Amino acid sequence: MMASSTLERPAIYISLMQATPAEYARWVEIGAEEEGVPCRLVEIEGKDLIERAYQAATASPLKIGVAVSNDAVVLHEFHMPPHQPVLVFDLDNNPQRACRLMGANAARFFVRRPLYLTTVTDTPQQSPAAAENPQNLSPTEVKQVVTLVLLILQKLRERGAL
Amino acid sequence: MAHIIAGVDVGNSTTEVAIAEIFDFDRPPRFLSTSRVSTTGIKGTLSNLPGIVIALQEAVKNAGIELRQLDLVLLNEATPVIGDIAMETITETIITESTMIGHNPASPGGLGIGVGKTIHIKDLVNAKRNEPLIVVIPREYDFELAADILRRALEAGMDIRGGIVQADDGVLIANRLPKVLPFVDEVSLIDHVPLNMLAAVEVAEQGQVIRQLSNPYGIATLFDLSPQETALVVPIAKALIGLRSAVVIRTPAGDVQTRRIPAGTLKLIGDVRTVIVEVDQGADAIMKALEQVGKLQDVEGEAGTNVGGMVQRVRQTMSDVTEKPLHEIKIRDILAVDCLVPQRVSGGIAQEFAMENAVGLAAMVNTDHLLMERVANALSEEIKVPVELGGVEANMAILGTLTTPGIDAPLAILDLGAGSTDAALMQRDRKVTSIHLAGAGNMVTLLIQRELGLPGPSDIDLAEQIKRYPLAKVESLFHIRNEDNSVRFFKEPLDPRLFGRVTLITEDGLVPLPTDHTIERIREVRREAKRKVFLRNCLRALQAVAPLGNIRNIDFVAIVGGSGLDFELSQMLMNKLAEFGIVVGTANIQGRLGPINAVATGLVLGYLERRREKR
Repeated sequence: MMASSTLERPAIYISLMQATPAEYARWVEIGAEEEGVPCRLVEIEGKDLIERAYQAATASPLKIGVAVSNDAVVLHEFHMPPHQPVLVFDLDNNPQRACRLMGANAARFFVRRPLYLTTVTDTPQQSPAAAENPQNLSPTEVKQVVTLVLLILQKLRERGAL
Repeated sequence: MAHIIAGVDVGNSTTEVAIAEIFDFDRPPRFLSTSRVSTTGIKGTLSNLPGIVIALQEAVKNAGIELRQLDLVLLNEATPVIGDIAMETITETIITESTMIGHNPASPGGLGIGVGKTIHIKDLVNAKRNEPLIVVIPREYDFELAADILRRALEAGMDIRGGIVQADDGVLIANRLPKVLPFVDEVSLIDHVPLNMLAAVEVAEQGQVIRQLSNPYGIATLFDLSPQETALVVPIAKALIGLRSAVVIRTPAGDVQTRRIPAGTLKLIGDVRTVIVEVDQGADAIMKALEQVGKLQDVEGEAGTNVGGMVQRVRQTMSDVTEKPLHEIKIRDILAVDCLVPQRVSGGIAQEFAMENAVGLAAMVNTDHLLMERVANALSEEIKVPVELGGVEANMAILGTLTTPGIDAPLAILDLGAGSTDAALMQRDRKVTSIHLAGAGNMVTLLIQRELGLPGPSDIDLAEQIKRYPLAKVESLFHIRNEDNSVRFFKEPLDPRLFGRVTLITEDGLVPLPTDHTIERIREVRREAKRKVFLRNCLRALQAVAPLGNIRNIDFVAIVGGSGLDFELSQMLMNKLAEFGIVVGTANIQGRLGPINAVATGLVLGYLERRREKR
């Protein structure tokens, strides 16, 4: 039950729409936990997802709320116009990732760190890193690269580009 | 007999035009319009033409006339100098075998320091009981699974001391264990972590930095190193300074070294004497040596060293531009600047960076008159208007500066451009003395780019922007904090993309910077770059033109040139030059243009002066 006690531990509030798996809310919590900010699932009324997120934000001692449905997850903040949430992610085919990132965003919003703006992977690619660290290439890999380069050079020469 | 003339000043960065109507030579001209566009190509080459034409077209449009109505175009005479800049690191950290992960994941887990043998999480079941362990956890192990395995291992009496995690799960794993252990996460190349090796993991409290692993003796204590081995870990400790979490792994053959690249020597050939100076003694030593040689005739870099390559490149660029043979290119001034640049550590695991010493060098070569004459001829052909070379740049700059209200000779001007820092001194009834020094706005941009580690070619634009605009941190969607700590509120919520970011306050609004540097760091780098280049060069330049070589004999200095528009530079200069009892102000050409257009305006005035003398 949503409590408005002033003694309550500060937390970001999460609201779960009807018929939405409970684990969605848990993923949001995990996202926020990794960033070190407490989160709590609360019962919030509201006709749609955005209104719920806004109500959660209003009720939250940290003034930050997240609402999640089967289709989308919304981050809202108390000072924003009610109809204009901070961020919305569609859950698409990876609800876990979207929910975790939005949980992380809610926490980041509180600690004032830049937000994740999309659910597209933005972790550094491993292959370019390996390419920049030639020491990390195995001898066979080096051999493959050399063969490729030679092949390209040969092709270029054939076309008269060199 | 009214006729209309245009002064055109082709600078390293911008091309400026002033158009004026002349009634007779005794009356001051009436300035009709000005323009300022980017210079095309390198100053003094035929590729400047498109830029000149655009600038002229813009100016005639502003004046409400046609290009063919111009009676004469005056071009700044023989750009006396062109410069080039280069930078080389003089140290490099190499890890011959991966031995270090020192990075700053946003959220490492747990707390403390743990030392043990690295072990893959899948092998934990077979591990010995009493052996201290550091568990390596790849991405496939979800945090719950990983925490579960670790918890059971701990309950079974395993001596787990910490962990290295590939995913961003450090906090989640640490929170689910019965005891507090340090976990470093976001280690992307986890397969490169050697197994069965002694490793130390350290995570500092929030808001703190690691102490043990950033201290060579701390590492020596943990790994029981000999004094010789301790000397080898210094680069590791150095690279880990200021981080919140780190891992150091001891591999038997593992050895990290700071390779000191032979930076080489610079041979400064002057008219008084020749001095050879070691580049790795730093910029101050080079500049001091430069003072001893008298007038610089040329510079040579030691062959086969970084500085040798640098000098060669400068010479090559200049040779290409001026179409003069390589051996005829003489370097007439250099500015050396020390800096610390982040360099990726070769052989690191989590893309670690170490701050390496580097020297930035701006060099300048003299060119000859022929170049600009060629441009003048081609321009005349193109626009079908007579074009003349209009007098020495420094003199023209002074004439232009004198249109500033409240200014009078004796006067020194500092022309802070993009490519060179120039000074000229005008005293009553004496010839104008002037000097051109290597290093100006472009050098500042390069320093900012390298010191903040913005390596890509497109990042030079970013560095240029950082140079130009003040910073602010977006603290909420409704307010920003400026770099001077003042706060500004907004009525409408800001774009969430700006949230939590350091941004530039530009004419077009807030522009977020794609870096993790703090606002303080960026500000410091920016101001330090301006100090190292402009303050140093202004002092050098004023010293060179000052009566009796004493800077105190100058009373008034006016700042002109594009860099004079800089939002903080003129104040920095004022503060510095006040020490010498000099009054400094930014010029206001024609009483309305600010510090720009001095030479273009001066070209028009100089033309009048010459015609008066002819009569």
